Amino acid sequence: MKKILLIITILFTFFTSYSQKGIIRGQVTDKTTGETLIGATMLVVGSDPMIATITDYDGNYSLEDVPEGTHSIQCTYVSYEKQIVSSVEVKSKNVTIIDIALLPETQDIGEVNIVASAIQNTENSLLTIQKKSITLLNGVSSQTFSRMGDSDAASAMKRVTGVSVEGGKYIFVRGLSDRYSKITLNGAEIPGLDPSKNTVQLDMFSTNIIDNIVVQKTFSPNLPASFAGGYVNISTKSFPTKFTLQFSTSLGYNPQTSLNDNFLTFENGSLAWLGINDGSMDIPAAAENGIPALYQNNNELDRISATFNKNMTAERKTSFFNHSHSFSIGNQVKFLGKPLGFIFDLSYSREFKSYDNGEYARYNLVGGDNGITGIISPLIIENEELGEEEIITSALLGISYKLTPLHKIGLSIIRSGGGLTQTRVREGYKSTDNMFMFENTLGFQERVLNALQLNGNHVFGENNQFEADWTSSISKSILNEPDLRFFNYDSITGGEYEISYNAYPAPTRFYRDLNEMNFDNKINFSWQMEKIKFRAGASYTYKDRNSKSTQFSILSQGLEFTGSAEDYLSDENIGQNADGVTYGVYYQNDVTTDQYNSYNAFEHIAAGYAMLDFKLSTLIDVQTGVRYEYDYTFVENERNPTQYKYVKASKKYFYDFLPAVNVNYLAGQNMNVRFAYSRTLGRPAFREIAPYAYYDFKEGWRVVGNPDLERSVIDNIDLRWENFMENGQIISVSVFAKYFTKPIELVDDPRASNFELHYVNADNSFLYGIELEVRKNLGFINLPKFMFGGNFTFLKSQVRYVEDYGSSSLSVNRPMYGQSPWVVNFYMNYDNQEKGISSNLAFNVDGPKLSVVTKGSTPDVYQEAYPALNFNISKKIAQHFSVKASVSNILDAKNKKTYTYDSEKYISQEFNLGRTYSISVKYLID
Amino acid sequence: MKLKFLFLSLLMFAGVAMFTSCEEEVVVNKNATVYQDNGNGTVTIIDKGEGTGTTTLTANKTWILEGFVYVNDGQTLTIEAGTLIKGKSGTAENASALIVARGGKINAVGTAAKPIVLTGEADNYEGTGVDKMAKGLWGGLIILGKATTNNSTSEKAIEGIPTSETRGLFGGTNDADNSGTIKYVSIRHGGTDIGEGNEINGLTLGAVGSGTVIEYLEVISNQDDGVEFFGGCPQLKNIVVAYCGDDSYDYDEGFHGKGQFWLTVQGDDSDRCGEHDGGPSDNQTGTPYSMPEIYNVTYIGNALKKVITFRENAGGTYANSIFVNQLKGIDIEYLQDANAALVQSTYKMFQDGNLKIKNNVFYNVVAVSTTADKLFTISVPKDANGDNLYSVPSALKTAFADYFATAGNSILPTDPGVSATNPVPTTAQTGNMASYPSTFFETVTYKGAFGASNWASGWTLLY
Repeated sequence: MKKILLIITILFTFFTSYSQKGIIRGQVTDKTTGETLIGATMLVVGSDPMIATITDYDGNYSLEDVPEGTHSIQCTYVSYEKQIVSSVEVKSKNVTIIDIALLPETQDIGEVNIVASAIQNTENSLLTIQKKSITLLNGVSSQTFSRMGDSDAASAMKRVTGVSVEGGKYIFVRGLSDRYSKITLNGAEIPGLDPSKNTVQLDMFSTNIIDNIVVQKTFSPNLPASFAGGYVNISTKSFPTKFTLQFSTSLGYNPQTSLNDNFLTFENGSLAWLGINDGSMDIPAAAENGIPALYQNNNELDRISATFNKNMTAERKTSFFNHSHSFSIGNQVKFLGKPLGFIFDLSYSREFKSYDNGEYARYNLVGGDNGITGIISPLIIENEELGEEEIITSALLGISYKLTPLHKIGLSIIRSGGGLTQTRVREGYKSTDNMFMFENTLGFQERVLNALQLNGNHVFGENNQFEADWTSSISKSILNEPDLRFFNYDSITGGEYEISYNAYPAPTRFYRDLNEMNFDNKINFSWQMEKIKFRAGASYTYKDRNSKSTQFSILSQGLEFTGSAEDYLSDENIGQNADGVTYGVYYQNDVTTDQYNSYNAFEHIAAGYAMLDFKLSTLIDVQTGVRYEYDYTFVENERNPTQYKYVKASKKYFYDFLPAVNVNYLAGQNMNVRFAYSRTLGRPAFREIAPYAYYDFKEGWRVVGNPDLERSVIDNIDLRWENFMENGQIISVSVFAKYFTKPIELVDDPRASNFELHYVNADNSFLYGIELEVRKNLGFINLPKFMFGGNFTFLKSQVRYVEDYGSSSLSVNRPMYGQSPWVVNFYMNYDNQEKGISSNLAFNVDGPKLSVVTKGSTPDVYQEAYPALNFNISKKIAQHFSVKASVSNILDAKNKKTYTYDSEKYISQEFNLGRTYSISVKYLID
Repeated sequence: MKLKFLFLSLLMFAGVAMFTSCEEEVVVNKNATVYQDNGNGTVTIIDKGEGTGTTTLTANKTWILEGFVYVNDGQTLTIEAGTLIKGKSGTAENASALIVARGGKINAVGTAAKPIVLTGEADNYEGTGVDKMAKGLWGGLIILGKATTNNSTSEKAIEGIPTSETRGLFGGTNDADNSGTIKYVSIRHGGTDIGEGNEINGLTLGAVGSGTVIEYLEVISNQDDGVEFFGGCPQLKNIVVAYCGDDSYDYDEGFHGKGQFWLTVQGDDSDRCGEHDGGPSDNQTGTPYSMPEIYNVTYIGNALKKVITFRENAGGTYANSIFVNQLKGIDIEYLQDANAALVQSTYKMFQDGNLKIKNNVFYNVVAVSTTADKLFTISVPKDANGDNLYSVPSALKTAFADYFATAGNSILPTDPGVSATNPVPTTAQTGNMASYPSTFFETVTYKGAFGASNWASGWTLLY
């Protein structure tokens, strides 16, 4: 805390050290292409001594020490028309922002004169990037987050064309699962936190620290090749052009959850409100070095068994309001005579979710063999209750320093944290054992990402024709899942309670710790020649992951269970001295299982590329090149000298050459037709190639790694037509197709007695689709303050996989896992700048997608379409204050997972989370 | 010029046939099995993949199984009479068990005076090392063969072993398969948790063929089932299952073997005396159907559970048997389709004559004085509240209840004198016998597992 105060003090000192004069800052771009212009001359007309500067690497300029008053500024650049902006108001100690768009020189006009007030930067800067980019991309900016009220990167991503979000964490771009998305933070690789995946959980990033998220849908050789759906780059806020200070706070009320006296939770330690495990949920010290088996050392066994806490079932407490707070400060100051920009940002949010009327069921197809219609018979049908509390915290410090206008270095320090407390209770009938089940699951999860990134941009050469940029990033993430508790019991109809070890797992406590370190370095060069731009670069990424898990079963011999976990686990029931039983409660730990669930892994990826950008004609831009990637992956289960089941797997790929061609045809002044072909890769996650089976306690199935698994090769083709109109309006249509050679899919092995999933290379899969995007101002029907937008994606995919298991064969012909056949987003914005009112209505829905692959001929479980409608309105109430009211999840639709058989639907899971009403206040100096 | 060259070379670079290659290395430590002599008369056996080899476990040593120890394909494990084998404690993949893989053979021939004992590490040969009721101290004995099952795949992995361990696979086409001989063997205190809600059964028989001999076997205080059959057609005589944590006898996956003289004595936490399924839940109606022939059993219940449940299309024959002291009778599953028409299920098996329960006697099942419709009941799937999803047509209920008498079953008005401590009836149950079908069966004139003497006495922990 002291450190934070110190930093704030330093930051304030910076912005108070102003002179008595003002500053004019802005950016110079090419009006037709949107490209920033380096080296344009800016000058304050008639100043004496002359105040002048040139634009830097980013096209930015800063005219300093401008006396208070009204000025004209002039911008000149070779082969562009000179532009003079008049009536520029400069106030003492203030920064006036003037962005300039230059027109290429023509014969007729030599000079453009504009009045400063007419310059309005309404065009979404991302659209400009989208327009000028030769690759296909879409994005969302901070502007959009605040309009839509999205609080984390995952929810913000839903607004992007062709993107759907799975489980609130993972993004599916064009229906392709998280495996085929690459996520980077400021261009650098960061570790993922899912033990079985290779991807980044996007809900970790508060939108508060994000400037924009860009999704690149076609590959170009300067990008990492391991994506097929999209390359997603999250850019954190860069330093502002002038002093900004922001504080905001919001309070949310959900009638179903907030202030609910029956909110399900459990004792999760004193720091859970910060998303941190205070240590009280750790493995008891006595049990850390293992537990003796029953009858080996009973005194020791009993001593250790007694040290575990006895909170194994859910409690009911009163929940609070959802609330979130954020603070940020930024400025551009002189440091050692050079411009230094910084931003410092802190945010905290706490959200509660609950339902008490959920349903959960598992079904089984009976007698549906040989073409005869069978029946769907329940295995278990339960009522489900959930209480969930999620904390997301983030801190960001970004510093950028311009050594010269053409040399810039930056530093970002980021910490994102998340804490999730989940309490689930299920009660219902289990037909397979004719018993009423009572299931308690208590879980706490702490996630942390720490990243330190250093980067630089440099421009060289007489005509600024050489550019270089580099990034060096080190990041570490931690997933700590202490004491995940499962306590199940049953009662036979009309009978007494019991714990039946044979029907379901004994009470269990599960602990998991996952650490991953990523070290990512890259350097890119470009050489702009007369007609051709040559680019080349190299990168080296090293990942190191360590995952450790420990599992304890709670057993007893002949001890009666009366329906209360507390009584059952009470001190008098522990161990050999428990009254009148063979053996009281004792804990057991399976060393081998823990070692199979614990692994170390690393991966080296070294890459290099070369590419060319050139004009084939005045209307056709071409970008082509090739990337080479070397990959070495290694995984081993936890090595123990006394352990005899040591296994490891390693894979090396030496010859991955990945070509790409992107062509852009300027079909009109603001119209592009693009074509792209590329070859990319899909790599398996560490765990997927590890040659051993592990039991996923959370999911209730066994997963078997496959050392023969190969990375997939994907051929991608894209075609897009797009038309940009003024004020950020756009219409675009894309069609695309992807062919996967050896895609990695998860299938169940029909030979297993219990549900067992295997990673396999399917023979191939094929995916194709169409995307539409419209953004239209309603000025044409006399509603100029309204902007309508929408995007629609329609997809189809098919996986082909055939494997022989003895005499019968398993053939899979189904959509790719998690792929929605369609994704729809709509929104309507209202902006009234005079009255300071803006409002937004947003709708999002995606079609049914494969959610659970079932065993045998039982139909698979699909997540049904879930329509979500959010509304918000904000009003400026004073110079620096604004208030915002919003309602989210207005439709409060049921979240449903179903089986469909013989056109009947059977619910596998159903719940709804209720509407949330929130109000927020924001103080902003900008 | 330079530029052109650069461009051309780049194009060539990109145009190179995009061949890919991959180098990989997989290491699973796979060395010879360790027979580690601990110096105190015990030998620890650690299987790293090569199995026990063809060898003999002698009675002069105590053999300790560490982890899963397999008798691999082609190997024969001989165990001398009077040998003590102990399983190390552990759960899940660390559980210790003796597994006879497909193509492997076990010759464990004890005698009534010198039985072969398999028990937990803390126990001794006499069975006084741990509480008689202690369960789950180690795994159990698993025998896997090449006989037929009705699984959707011809080979399947046995419970608790992932498919990646191929020695855990069972099933094939040879119903006459021979996995060896087991006589006078006592399996005690096993059934440790192997994860996923599975425990190891005392004796697990996966697709074991009829060439295998299993006689005079005891399973006592096992955490899971006593004996469980997964398909196959083994023939078992003189079997004792006592105080197990789950069902005493369990069959599934198209079991079509034979049995005679089976006893169970249930403890308080035991489940059904018999749990009988037709096929795996994802292939219930597959063939061959589960239709074993079982004669002369004595099932002594705990007055808390059911005598037998037949479901998932189970069929079979139970004849000349004695069922005593249980809360509920024999229950069969009825399934119907959306049009309320009977589908292939246990009830259909009954209708088609594939399920026969005949010439048995019941005493103190449900109540001392009960009626046939309470002993022969029908169950249907249930909803979240435990209510039936549909009701069984009353004509079908009546048909099953009426079958009780027509098949020669009777409710004894007086105690036949069978109890946990004495399995030999004080009042012999003779007369109204079903005839014996094949050479395997010994033709006797009494019902139940015991005639005049207790064959289980002397070599079991129970008696």
